[in-house]
Amino acid sequence: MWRWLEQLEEGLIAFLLATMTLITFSQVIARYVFNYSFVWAVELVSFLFAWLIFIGMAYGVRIGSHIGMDAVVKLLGPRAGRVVTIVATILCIAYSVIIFVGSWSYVTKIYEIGNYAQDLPIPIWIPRLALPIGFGLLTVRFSQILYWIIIGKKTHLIGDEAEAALKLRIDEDPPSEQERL
Amino acid sequence: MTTGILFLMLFVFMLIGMPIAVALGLSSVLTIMFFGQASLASLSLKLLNTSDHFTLLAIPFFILSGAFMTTGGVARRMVYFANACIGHFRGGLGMASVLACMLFAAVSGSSPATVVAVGSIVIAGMVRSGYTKEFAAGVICNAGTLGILIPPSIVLVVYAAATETSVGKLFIAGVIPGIVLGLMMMIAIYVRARMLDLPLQPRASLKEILIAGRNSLWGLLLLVIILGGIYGGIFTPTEAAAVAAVYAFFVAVFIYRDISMKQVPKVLLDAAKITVMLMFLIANALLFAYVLTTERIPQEIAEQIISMGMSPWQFLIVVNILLLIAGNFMEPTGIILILAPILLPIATQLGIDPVHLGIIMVVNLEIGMVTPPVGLNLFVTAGITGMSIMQVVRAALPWLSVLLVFLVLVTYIPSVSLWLPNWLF
Repeated sequence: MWRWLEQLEEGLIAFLLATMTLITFSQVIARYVFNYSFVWAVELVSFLFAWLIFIGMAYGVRIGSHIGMDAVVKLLGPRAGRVVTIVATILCIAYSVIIFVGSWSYVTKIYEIGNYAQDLPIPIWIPRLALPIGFGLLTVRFSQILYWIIIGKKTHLIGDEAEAALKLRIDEDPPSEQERL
Repeated sequence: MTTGILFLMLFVFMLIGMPIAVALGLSSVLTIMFFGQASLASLSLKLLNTSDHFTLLAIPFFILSGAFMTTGGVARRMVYFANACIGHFRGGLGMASVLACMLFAAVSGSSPATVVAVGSIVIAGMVRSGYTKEFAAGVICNAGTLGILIPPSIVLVVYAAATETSVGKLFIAGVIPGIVLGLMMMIAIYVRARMLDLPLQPRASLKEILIAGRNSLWGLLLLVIILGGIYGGIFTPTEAAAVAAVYAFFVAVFIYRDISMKQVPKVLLDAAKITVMLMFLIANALLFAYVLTTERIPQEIAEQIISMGMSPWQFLIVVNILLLIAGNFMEPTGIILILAPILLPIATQLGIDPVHLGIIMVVNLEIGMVTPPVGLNLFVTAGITGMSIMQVVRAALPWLSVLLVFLVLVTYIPSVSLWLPNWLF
């Protein structure tokens, strides 16, 4: 079940990025090749972008891609470091809850007003739902990490950016014939 | 008072190891809750505004085009081409690695990505032909910083968004400084190579150069599309980025065939990961900058500095020192978003061009990437060479002096950055 949800999350994020790119690209093509431009494209892309950012940030917590400074925590040694990391994680949860509450009250407000999007024929609260949903997910992910740190399954809150960049590393295999020519 | 508490919270949150994005967001939210009038709902709306920002939309697209281009194949083609062109000079392999970094920077907007892609190919090669590992690692670690200076550069897009400056102008302004820095690195290598009597390679025939050139051409056309498209008014920078991403996909999958159709979803997800990390940071940094502005902090600092009667060059020294220190502790995007809104009003009053200020900031932050404790390029270089961080720091140090000389050059000769954009626009 979890695994399935995680795949759904990854698929959704990749899909959002691909769709944003293709819509913006087709808009350029449409303008120059068919001399036609669709006004709603910019708005739709910005909605998709919001979903990408706010669904994606919780995913970023899961895979540890958010960067931070862990030098001081490392200096403290394992025991004090653990306590500090637990405090840091609780503060992260506080942040997600505060923004979740704020965005929820924002969405209910615009729901009551009943405004529509500028160019697309949908009520504006639907795309804006990205915010409370995203911060709800973020709260869940940070709580999960807190639980893992307390039971000792995990020691770090943040990821290592250098480690992530190194995944791009190229193994020194002999170049193929095609590249040489 | 409020400002002091805001910054104190930020530092404490960062030191206890919270993600920088959350540290920025939480310190802003708490400051507003205790001292400000804005409602939580309007604060969360501020976060959402990030996605409505048309300039920032260029970032995911540039990251995606970089992800398609950051394959071993593209970097390797550029290394071959660079080597064929200048490998026959003394220290040629070292100089060619710098040239390869410059070429690669023109398809990728990130410094660590440039170090990893080019470094993992050339460092081993340099060691095999008789260079010391320190020499090779030091050169690549520094030359990799060109990634954020030579367009497309994500850091420049962020600066453009933070200061409402034109992305096109900034990109074009980055071209000449990028070439100058590359040449300076190459000259330094050549001088050093003569002293150490480092090896040279057989001269490549014209045919070999042309073939190698044709192979890397598809990658390099990316920059032509971006700069030409923006400059020619064919599309906006954001659209240029989307076109670049689709073009990079075509080149990687159908022309170079480095990536199979099956791998495309994985590339998309990798690009999305970096996008989300960066955008979450940007959203919160914008919230932080918003709190600074509502507290009138940039204006106050500006008034104070102006009343001190600082001349432009004195101000630029302060900017350099401030950024060099900040660059040691935080990564470029965050620094730009927090400091650019503070520095820009002062700079404009003193008659410093916003585009020039942008390039100065980027060069300072480049230096921050090769100095401890948070120099990302150092960590990445240590990762690909298996050296310790201290060894890399020592290896990078002599070449860092080239960057520092270059910084003085860029800071005090505005025409290095401004001549080309002023001539074109």
